[in-house]
Amino acid sequence: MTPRLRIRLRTLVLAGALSAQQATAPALLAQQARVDVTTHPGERRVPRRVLMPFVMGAAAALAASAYFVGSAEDPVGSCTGPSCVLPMSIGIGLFVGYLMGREMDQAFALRYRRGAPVAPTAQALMLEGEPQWLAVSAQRGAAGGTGGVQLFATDGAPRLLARRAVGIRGIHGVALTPSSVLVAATTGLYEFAADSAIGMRVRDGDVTACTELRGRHVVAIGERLELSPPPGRSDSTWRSTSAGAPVRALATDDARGVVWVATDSSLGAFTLVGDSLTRQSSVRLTGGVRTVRTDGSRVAVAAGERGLWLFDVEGGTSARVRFVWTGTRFAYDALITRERLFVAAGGEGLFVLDARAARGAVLGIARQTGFAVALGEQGDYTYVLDRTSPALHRIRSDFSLR
Amino acid sequence: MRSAPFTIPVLAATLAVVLGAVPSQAQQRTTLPSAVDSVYRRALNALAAGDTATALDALELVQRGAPRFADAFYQHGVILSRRSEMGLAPDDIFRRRRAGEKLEAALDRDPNNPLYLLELGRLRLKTPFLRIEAERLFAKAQRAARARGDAHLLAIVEYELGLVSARRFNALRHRRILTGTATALDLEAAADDWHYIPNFLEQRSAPVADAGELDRLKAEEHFHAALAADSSHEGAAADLLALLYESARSAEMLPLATTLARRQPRAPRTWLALGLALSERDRVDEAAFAFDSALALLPDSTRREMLDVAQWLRPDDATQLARASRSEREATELAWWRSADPLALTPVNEARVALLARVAYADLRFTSEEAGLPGWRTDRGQIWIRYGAPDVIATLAPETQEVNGAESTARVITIWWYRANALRFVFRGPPAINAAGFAGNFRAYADNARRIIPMSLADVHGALRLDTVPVQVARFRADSGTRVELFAELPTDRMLRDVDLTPALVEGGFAFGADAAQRAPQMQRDSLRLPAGPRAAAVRRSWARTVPSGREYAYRIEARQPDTGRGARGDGTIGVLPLGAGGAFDISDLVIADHVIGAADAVERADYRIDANPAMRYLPGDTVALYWETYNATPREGRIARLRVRVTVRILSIDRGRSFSARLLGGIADAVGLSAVGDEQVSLTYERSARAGMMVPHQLTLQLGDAPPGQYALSVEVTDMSTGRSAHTERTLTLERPSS
Repeated sequence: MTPRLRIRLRTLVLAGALSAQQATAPALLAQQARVDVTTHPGERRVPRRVLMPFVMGAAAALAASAYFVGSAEDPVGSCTGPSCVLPMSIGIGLFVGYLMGREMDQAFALRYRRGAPVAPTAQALMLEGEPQWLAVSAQRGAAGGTGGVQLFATDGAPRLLARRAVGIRGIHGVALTPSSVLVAATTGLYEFAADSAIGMRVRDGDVTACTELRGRHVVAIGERLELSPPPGRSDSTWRSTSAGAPVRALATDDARGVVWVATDSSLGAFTLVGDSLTRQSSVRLTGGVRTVRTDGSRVAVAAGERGLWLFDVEGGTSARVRFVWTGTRFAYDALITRERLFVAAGGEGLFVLDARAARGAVLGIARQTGFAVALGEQGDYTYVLDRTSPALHRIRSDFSLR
Repeated sequence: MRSAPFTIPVLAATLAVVLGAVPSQAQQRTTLPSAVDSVYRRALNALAAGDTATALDALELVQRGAPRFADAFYQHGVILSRRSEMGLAPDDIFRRRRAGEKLEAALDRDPNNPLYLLELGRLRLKTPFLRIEAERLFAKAQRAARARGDAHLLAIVEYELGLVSARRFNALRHRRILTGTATALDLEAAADDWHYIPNFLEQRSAPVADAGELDRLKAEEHFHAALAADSSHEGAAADLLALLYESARSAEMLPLATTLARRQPRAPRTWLALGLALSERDRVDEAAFAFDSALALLPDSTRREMLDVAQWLRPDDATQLARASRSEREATELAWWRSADPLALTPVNEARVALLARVAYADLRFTSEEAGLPGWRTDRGQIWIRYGAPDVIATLAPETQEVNGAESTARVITIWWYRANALRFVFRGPPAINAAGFAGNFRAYADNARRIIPMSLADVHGALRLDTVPVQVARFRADSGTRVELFAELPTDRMLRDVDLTPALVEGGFAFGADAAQRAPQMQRDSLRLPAGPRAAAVRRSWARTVPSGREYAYRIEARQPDTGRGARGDGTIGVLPLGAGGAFDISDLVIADHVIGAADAVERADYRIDANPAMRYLPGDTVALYWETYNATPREGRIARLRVRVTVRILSIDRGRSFSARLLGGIADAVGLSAVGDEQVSLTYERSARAGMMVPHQLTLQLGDAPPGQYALSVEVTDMSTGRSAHTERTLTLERPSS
């Protein structure tokens, strides 16, 4: 082998090693979240400060092996011979690897300080705009936010059906009825018939939340709860009831005919008495409420920075707080699915709590669902809205936590 | 380096905080001899008065008189520390060394005093290469504060720890690595050649995914911990809000800012942050209220400086404005704000809210305690306020060897790139310190850029998807004064094309007045219900006002779709001079229309129905209808005047292909005595008789045939054949290329 060829070969090996190192280091950092999530919790995760020195040491050894290609007969400088370069490179590699691994471990510790990572298998549907609100029914789902409402199918893997309310600004929520999509926005309540591409504003005002109770629309405008006239009646007057404080979120228990109304200071149960909504009970609540959800026997309130409030329902209309969980910086949404309680916690991921426990007990944290802001359930599946991708993820509600 | 007007107040305030801090254990243990105690009190009084020289002398005496009294060493160290700048200047190194010795002496006497550890950590932060040591000291101070159960101190320490991480996050967040053969950013080329920065970003550097993520997590933890320990900690609140904003988490920012504004109702920064969060959530009305609340809490001078219109003007205009009388200046400023308001139909001036949101962001993000400057006065803050958020932000790691002189050595380079107008700015600043100034020649570049583009509201207009209302204004003589007619085309076709509501509501507004530009325009409002979607069409409206002549008038025509917030606006000013003053022969403005319908015996404007084309845009094959009036024609025979009319169509810009006149000539109808002149101009001349008197109406129709797309000047000259006097008027129309 000629000296020239040796130098060329050495350069090639060195370049290969360095580029491998360049490529793996940022990629490992960038991919850490994904790697961490798919790693199972507890003792099975190898600390990166242990793993990374080996990775980087190996990369350094590969780089240093360039000096073993042929014989380095013309050393220049103080550390250009194989006997110096190899240990020096490996040493630097180990050190850099340790630093990188330590950083990864710190990030891991911060991300999973409240619970172990879990990895549900998800089917994803890419969305447009910046969706923030989600409603799911047996027929379809609706994701609303900046850019309008995107309708998707819920009879299998999610697929996009149509777009509605294009460009409507200040969307505060979406709700589905058997025949239409309701959109609550700063400028009013909009209704889009399921089989029509054209909608209309059905109520003026800054509508902060909307739902449906036994075929009638219920909207929140400031401190007022408004109930649409019964279908088919000539009277077009909406019935108004005061909630006592600005209403933030609504949820319906259609089976019991109850509307759960969350303000920043209380959670109230309203039922239809005669032709208007009447408060049946009220329980104290603090925090900037974002959503309220019920499965009939329990009510979950996602109260933003005030965490998650779980209530047990007694007698159909009376709520008693079971626990307040503040294990996340910000609870965007919550969902009760039998024995699990999901909390969409934005960038912190999707928290899985034990819905049967007397206090908030985290079963796991899933981070591959992205910036989780809204949740919905249909059948065996939970839908998670990821604001930043933006995407809709569909996971099995009872996915394995191991 | 800019002057730092806040340095002295900041130093005094800091010292006041230090003086008011918890007494150390050593102090509690040590009883000072009365003579020393009086000297110590003298030192503290001198400190409070800002007389640091006397304070230092007195503290030296205390240290000699009570060598176990830790606080004397600590106070001494603090004074020296606060007077030292970061960097490697010999004076600073010496001062920092002396300060370090004093603080270490204090710690020798009272180990684990969190206040002493905190100050030593702050001192270490000023020394390059000792930042890890600073973090270690802060961590130690944190443990000590926890052990003492001192919530106030714990909040301060947590805040410092948060700042360390936040600064690192900010330095790393938009980090790019150099690729290929690039070794450094060429600052000269970046300033001189606008291609350089986009090429550099696309071809010679690559973003590092998730850079600084761990630091963001840590910073958030520490700021939350600081607020948990002391909910009134303004710095922690501001930096946490900035962090949330930067992470596009305005939903989280808003309740926090609301809570903090309730807890700290006298803190203007918190109100500014609340306004920023609200504007980000598109709650513009509430944002305006929050900003006004913040402004009300600021000193007059600061408020005036923050909202000084001069900063958004070209330097020459700003100088002129500064020289103007107070009333002129106020009128100009008011007119500027009115003009900046995208839509007067809305109760809020969205431009003002957007500019205040920029100020709020600059305050949260760029305020540098080290430099003693509020964020909106820094180089980065000024550019942010002037042009808004850049399309691309990139940071480059500090060079370890000297490249490019000393510009990038041991300094983080930050690049801001504004794609739409090819503006680019490069800043440099020390790593882990929130201070950066223009790099290289970029201060001069920024001054030049301001001459060309003094500011930009493109983001506001983009958010509102603001469209243009074309307006054609025509002035006619009236019995008393001048009749101004405004023909507008509301672009409801574009505004409603993708709206899926029926019927779609469109609000319209019209304002016209002598000082409408300065006063809040009193909009005459109405609303229309129109079909939306692909069937949506533009709507033409017209207004007429009879006004006294000899003044300038401003008009504003707007349309807004309330469901989507989309808007359109057309505005301008028009000078109204008397027409036919003193009985002189005169002509009105030319109205360019699609149709002008008038009876054969029509003699008044009211006898004509004019379907004006406000945009004056046509397609090949269209018909152009013209209407104008002449005044004071002199009778020649009986009461009949003879007028010669010459209509000329001149090419201004055209896609030249075949001969122009050949195509146009065939289309001219009603023409008598037609004559084509040259290849780029065609004119027709004819004579007509009209009843002499105050006003003679004229109408003419031109067929464009297949004339090529381009811009044409259409002029009309009328000569009173009795007197030989002529009057002339002109318009520009556009012939569009038909869409395929």
